[in-house]
Amino acid sequence: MSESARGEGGRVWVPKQPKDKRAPKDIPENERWYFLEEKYPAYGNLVPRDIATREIFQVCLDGFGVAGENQVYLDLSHIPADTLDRKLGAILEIYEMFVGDDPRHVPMRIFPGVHYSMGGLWVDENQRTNVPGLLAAGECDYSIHGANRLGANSLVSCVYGGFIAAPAAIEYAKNVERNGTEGSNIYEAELNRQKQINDTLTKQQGTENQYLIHEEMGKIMTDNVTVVRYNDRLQATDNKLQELLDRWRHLSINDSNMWATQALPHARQLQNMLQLARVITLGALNRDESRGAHYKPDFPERDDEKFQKTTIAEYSGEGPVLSYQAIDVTLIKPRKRDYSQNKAAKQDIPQEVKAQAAAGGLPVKDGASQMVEQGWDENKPQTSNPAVWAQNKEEVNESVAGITPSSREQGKSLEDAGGKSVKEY
Amino acid sequence: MASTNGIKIAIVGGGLAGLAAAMKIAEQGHTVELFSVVPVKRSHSVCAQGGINGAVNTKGEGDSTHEHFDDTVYGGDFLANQAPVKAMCDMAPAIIYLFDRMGVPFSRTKEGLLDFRRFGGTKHHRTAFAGASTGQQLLYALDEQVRRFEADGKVKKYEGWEMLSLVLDDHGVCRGLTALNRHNLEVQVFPADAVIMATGGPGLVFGKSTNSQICTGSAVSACYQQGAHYAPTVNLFKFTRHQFPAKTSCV
Repeated sequence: MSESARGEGGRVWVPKQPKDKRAPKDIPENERWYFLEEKYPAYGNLVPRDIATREIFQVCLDGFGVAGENQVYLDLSHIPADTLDRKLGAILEIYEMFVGDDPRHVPMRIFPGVHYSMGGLWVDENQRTNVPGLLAAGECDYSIHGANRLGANSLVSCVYGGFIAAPAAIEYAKNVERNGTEGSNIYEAELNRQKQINDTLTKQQGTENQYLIHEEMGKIMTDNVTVVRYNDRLQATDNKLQELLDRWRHLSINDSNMWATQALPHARQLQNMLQLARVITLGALNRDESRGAHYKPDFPERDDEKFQKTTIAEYSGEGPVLSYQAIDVTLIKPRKRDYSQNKAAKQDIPQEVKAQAAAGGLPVKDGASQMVEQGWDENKPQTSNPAVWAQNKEEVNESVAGITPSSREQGKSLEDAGGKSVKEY
Repeated sequence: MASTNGIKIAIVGGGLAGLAAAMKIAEQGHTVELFSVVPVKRSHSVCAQGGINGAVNTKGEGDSTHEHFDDTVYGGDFLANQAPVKAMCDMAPAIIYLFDRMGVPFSRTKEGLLDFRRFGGTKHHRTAFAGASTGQQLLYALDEQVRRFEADGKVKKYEGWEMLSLVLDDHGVCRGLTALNRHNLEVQVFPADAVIMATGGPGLVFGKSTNSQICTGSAVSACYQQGAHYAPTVNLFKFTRHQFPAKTSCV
C-alpha cells in the first residue's frame, strides 16, 4: 500500500510528543516528526522498504508510535482528492473499507508486515533448478532481488522469469531422452505414495490440532524471524519448529468428508511450511551480518568477505544442510549502501580532477548522478491549478486577502520566491 | 533423441510468471498443462498495486536500463547474481510496451503518453502503473492471451488443483507431477517433459502477512524435500494497515 502512496508524495510522520492524543489534523506542522525525510534527505520518504521498515519499527519501539501503539501516519491529505482518486483510487478504497477513515482527508495509520520473499528455489541464468527438468520463475525463485526488493520490480521479474523459463523448458524437452519413461512404473509409484500419505493422514487418530500448530508457527516466525533478528532467538525458533514438526506427526484431521473440505490439503501444506520455516530460520541464523532486509543488531555491518554468498539449503531427513555459493559481482562493484546521500558514482572522480574543477570555478557534482535538479516536480504545492483553487477556496482566498504579505512586501528576492537557486553548486 | 510426439510442459501456478510462461510455450506450438489452486485470475499477482518498473526515460531524466540495473543491485545490497538482473532490466521496457499493446489500461499523462511514477530506492520516474491495480490489469491481460491458446487446445487449465509432489525417475530427473483435486481430494499423476514452478512466495509461514491465503510455499517446499536446492535469503516487509484484517490482506 505504502510505496505507491509515498511515490505520489505521501509523507510518513509521527507526533513529536509521544502518545499525543490530538487528531492528526490538529497537530501543527512544527510538532510533527517527519523522521524519514530527516534521516534520509536524499531519498526522503522514498527510501527502500527494508530501511523504511526498520525506521518505523525503531520509532515505535522508542515510544513514538501514534497513540502509543505500533503505527505511524502515512499522510496523503495534502494532495488534492481528485489527483489521489486518479492515481491511487483502488488502494484508498480498500483502506477506507477496512479502517473506516477517508485517507484523502485523514492520514492513514500503517505498520510493516511480511510481504514478499526474496529467497526461493535456486535457479541458474535460464531459470533451471538443480533438478533436471524442473524450472522456476517469479517470486518462488531466488534470483533477482538479492537482500531487498525494490518496489515494482516484482511484476517485471515475474514476467521476465516466465519469458526465460518458457524457451528454456522447450529446449530441455526437445533434447531430453524420453524413451522408457512412458511404460515405466515411476508414475504409479509416486501416485501410490501420495495416496498413502493422504490415507494415513485422514485415518490417524492423534491429539494435535493443525490450526493451532499453524498459529504457533506463524507467531514465533513473526516474532523472531522478521525485522530484527537475534541468534539466540533464531535458535529457539528452530527448536520450536522441530517440536511443531514432531507434533504434526500426531495430527488428528477429524474429518471423514472428502468433498470440498480443506483439512487434508491444509495438513499437507502445514508440513511443507514447517520445513520451509526451518530453512528460512536456519539460513538467517547462520548469516552473521546485516544486509538489506536481514538485520542483526549483534552484527550491524555487511560482511562481504564471508557472506557475499547465496545460502543454499539441501533437504536431508534431519533438516536442511546449508552451503554457500559466491555471488557474481563482475558487472557492478559492491559498494556501501547509504540512502542518506545520493547514490555514489559508479567510478569515483579522481581527487585532482575535483581540485581542478573547484579551482576553475566549475560545478563539482561529486559524482552524483548527472541529472538536472532532483525532485523539482515532487511535492510541489499545486496552488496554481484552477481545480485546486476551487477546492481550497478558503485557504487560497485567505492568502489573497492579504493575511500573508506578498513576497515583495516581505522584501524577498526572486530566489526566495522559488526561482532557481545557484547555491547548490 | 526426442520422441516424435509433441512436447508437453506442466506449469504450476497461474500468476503472472506462470501465465507468461504458458503464453510463450503455446506460442511456439507446444502443449501446456497449467495447475492452479485458485482460478488463475485470483492468483496473488492480482494484489500487486504499485506498478511495473522499466527504464523508458520518457521524462527526460537521463534514466537508462543500466541505471535500473544499478538501482536494483544496490537496493538488493549486492546479494543477487548480476547477469540475470541486468537481463531483466534490459527487457523491462519491452515488457511494458508489450502489455501496452495487449491493451492494459496504463495510466497516462495529459499528452496521452504512458505515465510513470517514482518508487522507493530510485531517483527516476520509472514505474508504469494502471491506477492502483496494476498487477490485476497485467494478470487479466495475460489471462486473455492464455485463454486464446486454451481455445486452440494448446493450453489445458487445472484450476482448483494443488501440486503435491514431483515425479522423479531413478536418475533424479523430473518427469511430471502429482496433484490433488481440491474439490474431491483425489490425487492424479500428470506426466510432463518439464515442469515450471511459478507458485509465488511463502507468506503464510509467518501466519499473518500481506499475502493471500494461497501463498503457502507448499509446492516449492515439496520440490525442496525432493532434492531441489532452496536459497533462503530474507523476507521483505512493507507497510500495511495498522491492524491486519481477519480475512484477506493483500494490500
